[in-house]
Amino acid sequence: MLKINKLKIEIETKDKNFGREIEFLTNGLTIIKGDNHSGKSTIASAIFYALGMEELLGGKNVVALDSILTSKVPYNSLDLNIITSMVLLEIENSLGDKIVLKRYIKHYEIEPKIIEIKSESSEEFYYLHDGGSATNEKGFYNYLEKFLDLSLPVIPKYEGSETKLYLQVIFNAFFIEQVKGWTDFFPAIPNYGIKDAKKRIIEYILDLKTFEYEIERNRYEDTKKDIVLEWDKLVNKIKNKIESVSATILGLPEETMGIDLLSKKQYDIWYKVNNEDSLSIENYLVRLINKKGELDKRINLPKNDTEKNLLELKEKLKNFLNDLISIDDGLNIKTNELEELKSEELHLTQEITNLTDLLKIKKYTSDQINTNKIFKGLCPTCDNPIAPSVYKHIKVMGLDDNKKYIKSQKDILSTYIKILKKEIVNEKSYYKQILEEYESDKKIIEYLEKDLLSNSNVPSLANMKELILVEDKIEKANLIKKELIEFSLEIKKVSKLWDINEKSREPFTMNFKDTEKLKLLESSFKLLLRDFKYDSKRDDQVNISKQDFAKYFPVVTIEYNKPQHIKHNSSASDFVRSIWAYLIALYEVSNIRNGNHLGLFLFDEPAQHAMTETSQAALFKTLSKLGCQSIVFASFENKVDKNQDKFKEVTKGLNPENYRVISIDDRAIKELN
Amino acid sequence: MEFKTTKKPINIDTNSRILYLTIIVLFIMNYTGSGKEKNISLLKIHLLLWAIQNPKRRKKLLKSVQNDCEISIGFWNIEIRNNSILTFLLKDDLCGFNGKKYFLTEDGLSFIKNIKNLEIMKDEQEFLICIGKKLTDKNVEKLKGLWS
Repeated sequence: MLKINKLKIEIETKDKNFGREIEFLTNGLTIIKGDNHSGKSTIASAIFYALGMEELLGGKNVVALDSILTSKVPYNSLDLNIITSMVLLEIENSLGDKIVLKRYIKHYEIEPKIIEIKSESSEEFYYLHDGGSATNEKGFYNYLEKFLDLSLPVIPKYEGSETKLYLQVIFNAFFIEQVKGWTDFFPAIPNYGIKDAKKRIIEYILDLKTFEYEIERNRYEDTKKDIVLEWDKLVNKIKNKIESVSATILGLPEETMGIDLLSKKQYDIWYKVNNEDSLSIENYLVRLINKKGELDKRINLPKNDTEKNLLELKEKLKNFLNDLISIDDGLNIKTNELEELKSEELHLTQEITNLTDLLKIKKYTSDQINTNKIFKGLCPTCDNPIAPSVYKHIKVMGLDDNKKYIKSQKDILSTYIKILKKEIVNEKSYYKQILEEYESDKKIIEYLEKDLLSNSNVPSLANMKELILVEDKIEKANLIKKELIEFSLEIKKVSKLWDINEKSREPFTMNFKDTEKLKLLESSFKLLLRDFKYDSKRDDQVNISKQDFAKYFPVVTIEYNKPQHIKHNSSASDFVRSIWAYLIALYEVSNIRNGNHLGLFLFDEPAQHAMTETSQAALFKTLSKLGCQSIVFASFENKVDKNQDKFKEVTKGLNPENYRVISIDDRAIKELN
Repeated sequence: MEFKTTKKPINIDTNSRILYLTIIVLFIMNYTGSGKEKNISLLKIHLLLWAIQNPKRRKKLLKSVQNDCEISIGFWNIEIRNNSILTFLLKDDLCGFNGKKYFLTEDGLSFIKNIKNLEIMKDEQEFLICIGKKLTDKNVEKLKGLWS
């Protein structure tokens, strides 16, 4: 709980002193009433400033403050230079402890980012708007958090790290300034990179457990991302290694999965030995080892059958060449087919986008009261239905059906493209493998030809060359086999991490108490809307969103359409009414269900957009009876009698014990004696 | 044995749909029409309707427009069916005709303003913004002359 007891503004010029002192009603409504341009907002901004909340006005330190506080005070058509100016604010916590916050706006020595805190026992300086002001011992926000006995949660940021939920963010639900404050729900949240800051405010104020779930959920998602990244890294590494030895791996678990599923996956390295046959690495090695045995036996023997071997090998080479040509032809056909399918896929994607656009137009035009006939599908001249396409004789699918149809077509196409891509990768790999066999056989032929010319009693050179080549292949195959074993061990580890992370995954649904709080918020919000005379939409069309879209915020749902922000479905003044109702409903629920609302409202000019007196009166009545502190700055021109009546009208029926009017007349900052 | 057949609705490209063409014609007028009322000739509407149909045509026309339409875009045709769109728009008071040119009415202008917020047909709008006012009636005539 936070109460603002007193405010004092002191301004010193060379000859004269100026300022204002205001004592607020701590339980009930204080109305600061004055003419337009009388400087009510100067007083409001001084409160923001004294509490270090000036970022809600649009800038740190003195940037967003009026010149009457920072540089010159107008006096009898002169502008007097300010020597020093400061704000003193007495605040109180739920234990009844009082402190005075003293913050200079202009001073020859003390900077605005220093704040002095006077309590009964001490006077100390604290700093704000510098690193650590929310966490360090000498940081002002850290002090204020402790003074108010708050325990601000740690929440995720957009860039992945975590941060404390800053007080300046929460204050958006308590302090509403007049320029931007009434344009949306919490429009002035300073940019601290907090993910879903608006949602966080509601979760904190209502003390929703979903808030903790959300943190867990973010942790789960982040870990999941890391695991997927690690998995992809391992898969790509092994793929590249296998490709470098001109082999293929089949059944590789490319998608991240748990250990149960992984253990069922069978993946192995395959070698293409000719256009028809592929051998698994084990069989390939057996074949190579047998071959090596044969070659070893012959190594010291005089060569024989050279001519026959040469002919056989040449025939084999010819077959290899044919294989290469046929694979290359197949590859060309498949690559062309892939290009065509990709362009068809692109066309379907474009069609889906177009149909989505047309559905948007259809929805927009059907929501309008005076829709043109052409958008209703009627002829503007004769009112008869017009054909949906320029080909009038064709019976055409409706937009929704057509979109579904194209989506299914695209799904089929995408699957086929995926398969085709895989086939092309495999065929390219086969091509490379056969080419390698072809090249090594070519080398053996060279040596066989040398053998033909050399002495028949000496061992065959071709035999030796082949032996070297086979040994090289065995070495490479063994190496890649080892790599595959290492890969399976590594991937198992990642898979186990995946399982652990999946187990930590909560259902992430809203618990019973949270649901109840939101129901309460909704009913309280609706009741207040009625009190404030909101009539843009019917009661049953307005509700508090429990889905991801605008979660925890008011939305309008018309029949079976998607919910929309209440802002887009309300008149300007009705939207302001909905902000009043929402902010107050938050307090009411927090109050009943032990939430974290500070029990304080500061509304600067809540009566925006020619607000009716009845609505204003209802707001004042509600605030005065809330049981917390409310400070409202409102314009009522005293000079015009009619408006004096207007003020009487809006405060009529208020219990005098529950409200106090402070009239600042034509000038908020006055000369002090 | 007797067979009965029923016609089933079929899938068609969106650029043959009246709704799509209506919005495109309005966008064409809005982005490439001249003056406050967005005056535009019938031939220019047909040329842009032809070009907007596929990315290749758009590229060709943009290239030609950048060179003051001195480069031919090849043979381009007028789809008479598309005239019905203009008739609907005229009868629905979204556009008008002053005897020489078509123009957007106040209703048409405000309709365009509203549907721009829907963030639709981004590619088409981008293309028309690039064409802008550079495709004058003289240039359309030039492109007609470059047919042969």
